[in-house]
Amino acid sequence: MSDREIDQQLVERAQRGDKRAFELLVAKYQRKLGRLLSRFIRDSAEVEDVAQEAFIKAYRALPSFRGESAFYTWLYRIGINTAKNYLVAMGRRAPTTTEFDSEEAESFEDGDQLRDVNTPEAELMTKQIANTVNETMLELPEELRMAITLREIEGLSYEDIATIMNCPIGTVRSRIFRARETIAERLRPLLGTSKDKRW
Amino acid sequence: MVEQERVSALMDGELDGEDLGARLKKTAEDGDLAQCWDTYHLIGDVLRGENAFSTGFASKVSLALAQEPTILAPRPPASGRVARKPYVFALSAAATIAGVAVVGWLATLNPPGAPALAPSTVATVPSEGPIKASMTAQQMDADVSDYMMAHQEYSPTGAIHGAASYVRTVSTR
Repeated sequence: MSDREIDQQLVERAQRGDKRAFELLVAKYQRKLGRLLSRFIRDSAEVEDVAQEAFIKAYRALPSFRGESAFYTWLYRIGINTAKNYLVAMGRRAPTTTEFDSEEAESFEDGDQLRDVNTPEAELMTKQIANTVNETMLELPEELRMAITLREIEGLSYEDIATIMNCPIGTVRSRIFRARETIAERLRPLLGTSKDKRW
Repeated sequence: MVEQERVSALMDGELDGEDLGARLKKTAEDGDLAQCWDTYHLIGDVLRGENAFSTGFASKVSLALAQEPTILAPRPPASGRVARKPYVFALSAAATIAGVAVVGWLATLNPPGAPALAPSTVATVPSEGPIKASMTAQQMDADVSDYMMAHQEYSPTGAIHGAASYVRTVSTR
């Protein structure tokens, strides 16, 4: 079961009228799309507006998505076009295609280039979330911290992690879940628990 | 494994041995599981240094989506879809074999004298009366024989059509 297969299943569900399946895709890709857009839109509120418009455009275009490319490649292309149109409408210079393309965006890792002009409240919330995640990570038992680090930062499979940590795959799965759940418990007061507080 | 642990493994693509579609459906429809999906993705993104959007971004998108008409797109004929369903080929092959078997079995039936329908039908047709005067009985026998010889291969004569027809031809001559 690959990441692309999961996305394809969610897309097919959304194509059959399941909007909640599309919302899972929004939850999964909103920050990646935001990071992409923030490369050429400075204001974070504008980034969010453009990201929202891009998701709605993607939803409307779902019937034409045939799965020839990965969903996120397709989504990023829509995001870039939406941002270009937005910049043109605002009388600003849109990036040329040679300056930027979606394939490059997928491997973009330079956090220093991220624009951080949040409103004070949003910036505070972002910092609180980051601090909570990082502090809880430091408090995790060593085996949980290592398991989630190998998964989330190194991107290793459970099988590879099991080999490195010399334990069964089921143990890896359990450790990663417990790490996530411990951090999530700390985050919930910040995020709220009602559905309208979903990120 | 609790449901949240399944979501955790699902988002890592490591939930083997389960119906992926059913699991995604459950995650999408269950508010608590959907929230786990959101929060676990948020944690991963923060660990990778990606900025979080403001709270409420997802709900804003949800509200905007609610205004959109529901999509009911026909299933795209994705490449390889047929290949992923080998039972389609198996069913086609089984149907073909069954069809051939039925035809073959019917051909082997048909014992002599069994198809009484055709002769009796012929027998009940009212006679047109005597054959026209210009045709003698001998001429008629010869014509009928020629006709029968020419078409005997189409008449049901038992299990060995080809050989039987030749046998009768010899005996007729």
